[in-house]
Amino acid sequence: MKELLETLAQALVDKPEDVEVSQIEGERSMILQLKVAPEDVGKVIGKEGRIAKALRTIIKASATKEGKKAMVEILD
Amino acid sequence: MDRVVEAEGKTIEEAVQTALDELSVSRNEVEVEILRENKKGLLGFDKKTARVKIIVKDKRVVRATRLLEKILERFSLEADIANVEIEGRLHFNMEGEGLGILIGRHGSTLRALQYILGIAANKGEKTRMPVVLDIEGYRLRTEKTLKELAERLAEEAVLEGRAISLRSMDPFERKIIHETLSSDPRVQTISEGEGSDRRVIIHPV
Repeated sequence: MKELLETLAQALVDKPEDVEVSQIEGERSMILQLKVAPEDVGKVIGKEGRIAKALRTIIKASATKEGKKAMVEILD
Repeated sequence: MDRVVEAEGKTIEEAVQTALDELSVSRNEVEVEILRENKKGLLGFDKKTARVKIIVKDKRVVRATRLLEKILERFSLEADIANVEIEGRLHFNMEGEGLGILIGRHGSTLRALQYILGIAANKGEKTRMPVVLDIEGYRLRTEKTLKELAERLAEEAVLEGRAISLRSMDPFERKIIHETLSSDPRVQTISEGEGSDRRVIIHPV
Protein backbone atom coordinates (compact mmCIF):
# COMPACT_ATOMS: atom_id res chain seq x y z
CA MET A 1 0.00 0.00 0.00
CA LYS A 2 2.82 2.30 0.99
CA GLU A 3 4.64 1.48 -2.25
CA LEU A 4 1.52 2.11 -4.30
CA LEU A 5 1.07 5.59 -2.87
CA GLU A 6 4.77 6.28 -3.40
CA THR A 7 4.50 5.19 -7.03
CA LEU A 8 1.48 7.38 -7.69
CA ALA A 9 2.91 10.42 -5.93
CA GLN A 10 6.27 10.09 -7.66
CA ALA A 11 4.53 10.15 -11.04
CA LEU A 12 2.87 13.46 -10.19
CA VAL A 13 5.56 15.57 -8.56
CA ASP A 14 8.62 17.38 -9.85
CA LYS A 15 10.85 15.99 -7.11
CA PRO A 16 10.11 12.26 -6.91
CA GLU A 17 13.16 11.73 -4.72
CA ASP A 18 11.48 13.78 -1.99
CA VAL A 19 8.37 11.59 -1.81
CA GLU A 20 8.04 9.84 1.53
CA VAL A 21 5.22 7.68 2.77
CA SER A 22 4.96 6.43 6.31
CA GLN A 23 2.52 3.77 7.25
CA ILE A 24 0.82 3.65 10.62
CA GLU A 25 -0.72 0.25 10.94
CA GLY A 26 -3.76 -0.59 13.04
CA GLU A 27 -5.52 -3.90 13.32
CA ARG A 28 -8.16 -3.26 10.70
CA SER A 29 -7.14 0.08 9.34
CA MET A 30 -4.03 1.98 8.48
CA ILE A 31 -3.00 5.54 7.96
CA LEU A 32 -0.69 6.50 5.15
CA GLN A 33 1.08 9.78 5.57
CA LEU A 34 2.35 11.31 2.36
CA LYS A 35 5.12 13.84 2.43
CA VAL A 36 6.39 15.64 -0.68
CA ALA A 37 8.63 18.64 -1.35
CA PRO A 38 6.90 21.89 -0.28
CA GLU A 39 6.59 23.08 -3.89
CA ASP A 40 4.98 19.77 -4.87
CA VAL A 41 2.15 19.78 -2.31
CA GLY A 42 -0.28 21.27 -4.81
CA LYS A 43 0.56 18.52 -7.29
CA VAL A 44 -0.71 15.78 -4.99
CA ILE A 45 -3.75 17.75 -3.82
CA GLY A 46 -4.94 19.34 -7.04
CA LYS A 47 -7.66 21.83 -7.76
CA GLU A 48 -10.34 21.45 -5.11
CA GLY A 49 -8.53 18.40 -3.81
CA ARG A 50 -9.29 16.41 -6.94
CA ILE A 51 -5.93 14.65 -7.15
CA ALA A 52 -5.97 13.81 -3.45
CA LYS A 53 -9.42 12.35 -3.89
CA ALA A 54 -8.31 10.19 -6.82
CA LEU A 55 -5.29 8.99 -4.81
CA ARG A 56 -7.58 8.05 -1.92
CA THR A 57 -9.89 6.14 -4.26
CA ILE A 58 -7.01 4.08 -5.64
CA ILE A 59 -5.55 3.39 -2.19
CA LYS A 60 -8.99 2.38 -0.97
CA ALA A 61 -9.21 -0.19 -3.77
CA SER A 62 -5.85 -1.62 -2.78
CA ALA A 63 -6.85 -1.71 0.91
CA THR A 64 -10.10 -3.48 0.07
CA LYS A 65 -8.06 -6.18 -1.63
CA GLU A 66 -6.26 -6.73 1.66
CA GLY A 67 -9.47 -6.53 3.65
CA LYS A 68 -8.45 -3.32 5.34
CA LYS A 69 -9.39 0.30 5.57
CA ALA A 70 -6.84 2.91 4.65
CA MET A 71 -6.67 6.62 5.18
CA VAL A 72 -4.41 8.98 3.32
CA GLU A 73 -3.07 12.08 4.98
CA ILE A 74 -1.10 14.64 3.07
CA LEU A 75 1.42 16.44 5.26
CA ASP A 76 2.42 19.98 4.50
CA MET B 1 3.04 10.68 -31.76
CA ASP B 2 5.93 8.28 -32.39
CA ARG B 3 8.86 9.39 -34.52
CA VAL B 4 10.63 6.98 -36.83
CA VAL B 5 14.13 7.28 -38.29
CA GLU B 6 16.51 4.91 -40.02
CA ALA B 7 20.28 4.81 -39.59
CA GLU B 8 23.31 2.90 -40.84
CA GLY B 9 26.57 1.86 -39.22
CA LYS B 10 29.39 -0.65 -39.33
CA THR B 11 27.65 -2.60 -36.61
CA ILE B 12 24.11 -2.60 -35.27
CA GLU B 13 25.25 -0.88 -32.08
CA GLU B 14 26.96 1.82 -34.09
CA ALA B 15 23.87 2.41 -36.23
CA VAL B 16 21.70 2.66 -33.13
CA GLN B 17 24.13 5.05 -31.45
CA THR B 18 24.27 7.28 -34.53
CA ALA B 19 20.50 7.56 -34.53
CA LEU B 20 20.33 8.19 -30.79
CA ASP B 21 22.94 10.95 -31.03
CA GLU B 22 21.14 12.55 -33.92
CA LEU B 23 17.80 12.50 -32.09
CA SER B 24 19.37 13.21 -28.68
CA VAL B 25 17.34 10.56 -26.92
CA SER B 26 18.47 7.69 -24.71
CA ARG B 27 18.32 3.99 -25.48
CA ASN B 28 15.39 3.27 -23.17
CA GLU B 29 13.20 5.79 -24.96
CA VAL B 30 13.29 3.96 -28.25
CA GLU B 31 12.44 0.69 -29.89
CA VAL B 32 14.93 -0.76 -32.33
CA GLU B 33 14.09 -2.79 -35.37
CA ILE B 34 16.94 -4.39 -37.28
CA LEU B 35 16.48 -3.93 -41.00
CA ARG B 36 19.80 -5.45 -42.09
CA GLU B 37 22.67 -7.08 -40.25
CA ASN B 38 26.19 -5.98 -41.03
CA LYS B 39 28.40 -8.33 -43.06
CA LYS B 40 32.17 -8.30 -43.12
CA GLY B 41 32.44 -9.56 -46.68
CA LEU B 42 35.47 -11.10 -48.32
CA LEU B 43 38.42 -8.84 -49.09
CA GLY B 44 36.13 -5.88 -49.06
CA PHE B 45 33.63 -7.42 -51.43
CA ASP B 46 30.03 -7.95 -50.49
CA LYS B 47 30.54 -5.84 -47.39
CA LYS B 48 27.33 -4.56 -45.87
CA THR B 49 26.59 -1.98 -43.26
CA ALA B 50 23.99 -2.56 -40.59
CA ARG B 51 20.72 -0.76 -40.99
CA VAL B 52 18.26 -0.11 -38.18
CA LYS B 53 14.95 1.54 -37.72
CA ILE B 54 14.54 3.56 -34.57
CA ILE B 55 11.11 4.30 -33.20
CA VAL B 56 11.03 7.08 -30.66
CA LYS B 57 8.08 6.39 -28.44
CA ASP B 58 5.88 9.31 -27.53
CA LYS B 59 7.02 10.47 -24.09
CA ARG B 60 3.44 10.55 -22.87
CA VAL B 61 2.94 6.93 -23.87
CA VAL B 62 6.21 5.94 -22.22
CA ARG B 63 5.32 7.71 -18.97
CA ALA B 64 1.77 6.36 -18.90
CA THR B 65 2.81 2.80 -19.72
CA ARG B 66 5.51 2.86 -17.07
CA LEU B 67 3.07 4.09 -14.46
CA LEU B 68 0.45 1.49 -15.38
CA GLU B 69 3.06 -1.27 -15.16
CA LYS B 70 4.09 -0.09 -11.71
CA ILE B 71 0.49 0.16 -10.52
CA LEU B 72 -0.21 -3.38 -11.73
CA GLU B 73 2.89 -4.58 -9.89
CA ARG B 74 1.74 -2.90 -6.67
CA PHE B 75 -1.62 -4.61 -6.97
CA SER B 76 0.16 -7.92 -7.78
CA LEU B 77 -1.72 -8.05 -11.06
CA GLU B 78 -0.63 -8.91 -14.55
CA ALA B 79 -2.11 -7.43 -17.68
CA ASP B 80 -1.40 -6.62 -21.28
CA ILE B 81 -1.32 -2.90 -21.91
CA ALA B 82 -2.28 -1.69 -25.36
CA ASN B 83 -2.35 1.90 -26.51
CA VAL B 84 -3.66 3.71 -29.52
CA GLU B 85 -4.05 7.36 -30.43
CA ILE B 86 -7.48 8.36 -31.70
CA GLU B 87 -8.50 11.91 -32.54
CA GLY B 88 -5.87 13.51 -30.36
CA ARG B 89 -6.57 11.25 -27.41
CA LEU B 90 -4.39 8.56 -25.96
CA HIS B 91 -6.37 5.41 -25.30
CA PHE B 92 -5.01 2.69 -23.08
CA ASN B 93 -6.66 -0.66 -22.55
CA MET B 94 -5.62 -3.32 -20.10
CA GLU B 95 -6.55 -6.97 -20.43
CA GLY B 96 -5.84 -9.53 -17.76
CA GLU B 97 -7.20 -11.52 -14.88
CA GLY B 98 -8.64 -10.01 -11.74
CA LEU B 99 -8.59 -6.45 -13.04
CA GLY B 100 -12.09 -5.78 -11.68
CA ILE B 101 -10.50 -4.34 -8.56
CA LEU B 102 -9.07 -1.54 -10.72
CA ILE B 103 -12.52 -0.71 -12.07
CA GLY B 104 -14.32 -0.37 -8.76
CA ARG B 105 -17.93 0.51 -8.09
CA HIS B 106 -19.50 2.17 -11.14
CA GLY B 107 -15.97 2.50 -12.48
CA SER B 108 -14.90 4.87 -9.70
CA THR B 109 -11.40 3.39 -9.36
CA LEU B 110 -10.98 3.32 -13.13
CA ARG B 111 -11.88 7.03 -13.28
CA ALA B 112 -9.42 7.85 -10.50
CA LEU B 113 -6.69 5.90 -12.28
CA GLN B 114 -7.47 7.62 -15.57
CA TYR B 115 -7.31 11.03 -13.91
CA ILE B 116 -3.91 10.36 -12.31
CA LEU B 117 -2.63 8.74 -15.51
CA GLY B 118 -3.64 11.80 -17.56
CA ILE B 119 -1.75 14.16 -15.28
CA ALA B 120 1.31 11.92 -15.03
CA ALA B 121 1.46 11.30 -18.79
CA ASN B 122 1.30 15.02 -19.61
CA LYS B 123 3.79 16.10 -16.97
CA GLY B 124 6.23 18.62 -18.40
CA GLU B 125 4.49 18.79 -21.78
CA LYS B 126 3.43 22.13 -23.23
CA THR B 127 0.18 20.78 -24.62
CA ARG B 128 -2.14 18.46 -22.78
CA MET B 129 -3.35 15.33 -24.47
CA PRO B 130 -6.41 13.70 -22.94
CA VAL B 131 -5.84 10.16 -21.73
CA VAL B 132 -8.55 7.52 -21.74
CA LEU B 133 -8.05 4.38 -19.70
CA ASP B 134 -10.14 1.30 -20.22
CA ILE B 135 -10.04 -2.11 -18.61
CA GLU B 136 -11.28 -5.12 -20.55
CA GLY B 137 -13.50 -2.86 -22.64
CA TYR B 138 -15.45 -1.74 -19.57
CA ARG B 139 -15.92 1.76 -20.97
CA LEU B 140 -17.09 0.41 -24.29
CA ARG B 141 -19.74 -1.65 -22.54
CA THR B 142 -20.82 1.21 -20.31
CA GLU B 143 -21.09 3.42 -23.39
CA LYS B 144 -24.02 1.32 -24.56
CA THR B 145 -25.58 1.38 -21.10
CA LEU B 146 -25.12 5.15 -20.91
CA LYS B 147 -26.80 5.68 -24.26
CA GLU B 148 -29.78 3.65 -23.16
CA LEU B 149 -29.90 5.48 -19.85
CA ALA B 150 -29.80 8.85 -21.62
CA GLU B 151 -32.64 7.90 -23.92
CA ARG B 152 -34.78 6.56 -21.11
CA LEU B 153 -34.29 9.60 -18.90
CA ALA B 154 -34.90 12.00 -21.79
CA GLU B 155 -38.21 10.26 -22.34
CA GLU B 156 -39.01 10.69 -18.66
CA ALA B 157 -38.01 14.35 -18.66
CA VAL B 158 -40.30 15.03 -21.62
CA LEU B 159 -43.26 13.08 -20.24
CA GLU B 160 -43.04 14.55 -16.76
CA GLY B 161 -42.04 17.99 -17.97
CA ARG B 162 -39.23 18.34 -15.45
CA ALA B 163 -35.43 18.46 -15.48
CA ILE B 164 -33.69 15.21 -14.57
CA SER B 165 -30.22 15.04 -13.08
CA LEU B 166 -27.94 12.10 -13.80
CA ARG B 167 -25.32 10.71 -11.43
CA SER B 168 -21.90 12.37 -11.43
CA MET B 169 -19.79 11.35 -14.40
CA ASP B 170 -16.37 11.91 -15.86
CA PRO B 171 -15.90 14.00 -19.04
CA PHE B 172 -16.06 10.98 -21.37
CA GLU B 173 -19.26 9.67 -19.84
CA ARG B 174 -20.85 13.12 -19.99
CA LYS B 175 -19.84 13.47 -23.61
CA ILE B 176 -21.70 10.25 -24.43
CA ILE B 177 -24.86 11.61 -22.77
CA HIS B 178 -24.59 14.97 -24.58
CA GLU B 179 -23.96 13.32 -27.93
CA THR B 180 -26.74 10.78 -27.54
CA LEU B 181 -29.30 13.48 -26.84
CA SER B 182 -27.97 16.16 -29.21
CA SER B 183 -30.26 14.82 -31.94
CA ASP B 184 -33.33 14.85 -29.70
CA PRO B 185 -35.02 18.25 -30.22
CA ARG B 186 -37.30 17.77 -27.21
CA VAL B 187 -34.50 18.05 -24.66
CA GLN B 188 -31.41 20.05 -23.87
CA THR B 189 -28.46 18.74 -21.85
CA ILE B 190 -26.34 20.89 -19.58
CA SER B 191 -23.43 19.89 -17.30
CA GLU B 192 -23.50 21.30 -13.80
CA GLY B 193 -21.30 21.03 -10.73
CA GLU B 194 -17.57 20.95 -10.23
CA GLY B 195 -14.90 18.28 -10.48
CA SER B 196 -15.92 14.75 -9.72
CA ASP B 197 -19.42 15.95 -8.79
CA ARG B 198 -20.07 17.28 -12.27
CA ARG B 199 -23.23 15.79 -13.78
CA VAL B 200 -25.52 16.19 -16.75
CA ILE B 201 -29.00 17.63 -16.33
CA ILE B 202 -31.60 16.82 -18.97
CA HIS B 203 -34.00 19.74 -19.48
CA PRO B 204 -37.19 19.40 -21.47
CA VAL B 205 -37.35 22.22 -24.03
